Amino acid sequence: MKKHLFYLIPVFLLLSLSVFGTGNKEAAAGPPWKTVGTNEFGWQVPEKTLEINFYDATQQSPDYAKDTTEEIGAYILQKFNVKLTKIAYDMDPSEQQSLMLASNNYPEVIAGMTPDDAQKWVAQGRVMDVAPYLDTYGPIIKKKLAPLYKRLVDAKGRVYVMPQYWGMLPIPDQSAHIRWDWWQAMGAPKFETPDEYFEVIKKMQQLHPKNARGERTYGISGYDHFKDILPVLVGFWGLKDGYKEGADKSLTHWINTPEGLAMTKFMNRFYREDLLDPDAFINNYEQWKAKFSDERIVGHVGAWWVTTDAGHETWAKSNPNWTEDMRYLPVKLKAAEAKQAYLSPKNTTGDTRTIVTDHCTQIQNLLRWWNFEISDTGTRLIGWGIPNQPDSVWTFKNGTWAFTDQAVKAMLSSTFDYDHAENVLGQVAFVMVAGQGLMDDGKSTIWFDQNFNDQDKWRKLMNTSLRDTEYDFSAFLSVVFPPDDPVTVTKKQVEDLLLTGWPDAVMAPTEQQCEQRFMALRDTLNNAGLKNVEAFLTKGYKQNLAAWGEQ
Amino acid sequence: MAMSPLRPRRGRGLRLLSRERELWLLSLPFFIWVAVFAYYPMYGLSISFLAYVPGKPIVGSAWVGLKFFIEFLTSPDFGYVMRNTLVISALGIVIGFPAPIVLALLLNELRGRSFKKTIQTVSYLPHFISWVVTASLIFTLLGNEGVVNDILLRARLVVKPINFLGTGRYFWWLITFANLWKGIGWSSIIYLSAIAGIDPELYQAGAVDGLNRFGMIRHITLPGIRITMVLLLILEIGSILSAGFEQQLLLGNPQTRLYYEVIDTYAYKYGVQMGRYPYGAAVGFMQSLVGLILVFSANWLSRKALDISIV
Repeated sequence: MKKHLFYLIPVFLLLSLSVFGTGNKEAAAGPPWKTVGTNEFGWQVPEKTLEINFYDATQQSPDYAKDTTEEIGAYILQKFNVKLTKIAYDMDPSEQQSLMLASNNYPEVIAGMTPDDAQKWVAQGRVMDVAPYLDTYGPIIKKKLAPLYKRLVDAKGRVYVMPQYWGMLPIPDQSAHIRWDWWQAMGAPKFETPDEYFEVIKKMQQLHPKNARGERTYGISGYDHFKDILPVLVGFWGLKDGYKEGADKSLTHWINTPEGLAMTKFMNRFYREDLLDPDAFINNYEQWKAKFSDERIVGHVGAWWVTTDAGHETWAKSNPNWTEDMRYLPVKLKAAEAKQAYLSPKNTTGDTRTIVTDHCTQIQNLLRWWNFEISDTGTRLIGWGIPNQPDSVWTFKNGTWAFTDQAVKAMLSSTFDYDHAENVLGQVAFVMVAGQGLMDDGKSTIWFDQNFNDQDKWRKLMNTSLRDTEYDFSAFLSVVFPPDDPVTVTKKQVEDLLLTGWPDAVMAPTEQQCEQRFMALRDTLNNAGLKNVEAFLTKGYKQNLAAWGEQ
Repeated sequence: MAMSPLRPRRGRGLRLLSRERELWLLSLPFFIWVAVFAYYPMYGLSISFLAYVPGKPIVGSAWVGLKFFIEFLTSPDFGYVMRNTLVISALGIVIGFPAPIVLALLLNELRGRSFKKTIQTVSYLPHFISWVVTASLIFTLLGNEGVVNDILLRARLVVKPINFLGTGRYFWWLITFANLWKGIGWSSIIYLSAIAGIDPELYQAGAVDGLNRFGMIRHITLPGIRITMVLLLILEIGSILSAGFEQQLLLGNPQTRLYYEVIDTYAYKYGVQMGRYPYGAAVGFMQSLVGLILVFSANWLSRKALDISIV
């Protein structure tokens, strides 16, 4: 018996070698890829439909995902013979991904992930390394991502995580906002510092104490617990994304800085002078938007697209007497004691990541598609939506592209229909690896509405006002908190305590009490481990700077 | 040869099984249901002792013993999370437990049949309204620009609106009365059915003995539903560490977090949402264990004091 087994062992070995050998050849050459010609976009159309399913981890509603992908999905299938299916869930993306991992039920691609979530998948060995395939199947990917490559590659030369919306878009995002027509009517009083802005807003609210429906107005409000607004507020005092950067690149959370106290006192003034919306810390975005669109909130701090959406784009549709002056203009504020205002942190690696999971059976063909998507033509198609239709925003004929006159006109007159662009033309519905930096002409970008900054007078005004407020903070924004590290839990505890305690300091009846509450909150956060979070971020930040050769 | 003492019993058991086979057959699906959905998933509790990572097999995960239990007990959040859970549950027992009994007694005293039915139906309806809708109703009522503040301002009882939803100290009462509003009618059904089971001749005898309506409630109705009350109280005590979930997440906000965060919401946020399943499982396990101990304690106490028990 033993003798027979002895003879069987080499046979098994040979068999297994031949099986693995075939597998390796398959991995190198990839699954069959026969094409039936090249389409007008330069894509070699496969004979057999290429199917790509991807989960968009940005918490989109399934209905929205279906609506926005239906038309462009059909177009891509018809023109490219590529069937793209976007999977979306309403639930928290991190929770969804944990369920996917636990059930082993997930598609071949996951896009729109936070760097922290992407790392979870890598740590579990669920992600495929794309590096070996890039030379053969993704030459454009490799060329486009060359400046970022050392951020993506690990010590063993593997590339597990791809960037999404990478690249530098040199356009400011965040700032304070002023109601243009009301400000002009006041004689456009100058303001540069937060305190001067406060005085203007106070005066403006006094001039407009009630809206057209007789409801009272407020100087300022907020939504989603000020999570996105807080870093902008401390940016007026020269902090970067909520942290003070020392000369040695060490990072200190704003609560541990005098600038953080000054910002809290600034907000406290709004409360004490009855200018703060009492729902400011309770509102969700929709509730805030309803008040803002009803002209009940005079000032704002945050992203320009927020007041655009809730302000003149809403009024243009709902108010027959709307004039283009009825709008908010993003404006820079800088505290007198700050050297510079840092308002719009930019992550040139992109804020979100995309991975190929171990469920992918044709990584070579997937990379063929990504190679097209990341090209300038591909980015235009995916970013600007279906071309060459009567309602398209761009045309692409004989290798030449152009914006349509009607789209440009609508854009410049603030009457552009964003819903149509998303739902019918499918703008940015299928982004997996495309970037947002400037393309071959040095001007155009994936975001259609960002292509007219040199023509649109309002955007010109905004860009002039906010010049030098955006800054590259990629090394900070790319620090990953490992899921199994206690500092990750500490970070969440600190964030939760901050969101609970800060409103209390803002809503103090006196400035003295505001300061007392601020100091108490500082102690609470430090006792909860904030110093550990600061140390972790500082270490990661410095490591990234050193590894990327930017220190 | 001596007979095995088990033999006759086994024979009796089999004879019993054979005689009651229809009943056992009817019960079989429920045994299977309990086994599959209640007992089989219990093996998952083992992850509370393991360094389990979602997606990796449970078998093979490193043993960490009581690490996650200790982490919860020593967490800086433990104090207020446990306090909120106990206070909200205690308010639920002190106010929420007797309220449906009182409602059932009041409904039982109504004489007009159609009026009684209408009141009953109206009181059940909130049970069928989801917490999402309930939360919107509460926002409309108690928001800074809600109906209540509007009335208070118009009546000049306050100068500024009261921030009911953003002030922590109001939250316990808010959630208690929201739970009460949603559950009082529904919970009263079981007491109404218990009241319906009381022999009407007792009331006739009470009337002959000169009892008025309050007397009848005190001496006939309440003793008649005593067993139901005690059994439900024992179960209520067992769930003292389950102080709600949806309602907290919908009605709470960061401003009221130090008053609304209870064990279930905390385990969800710091366990499930962060992908730390073992932590969530450990907190849940601890909660169930305490619940079980409380049920048995309350049961023991009830047996000693009132000679009523569920097991």
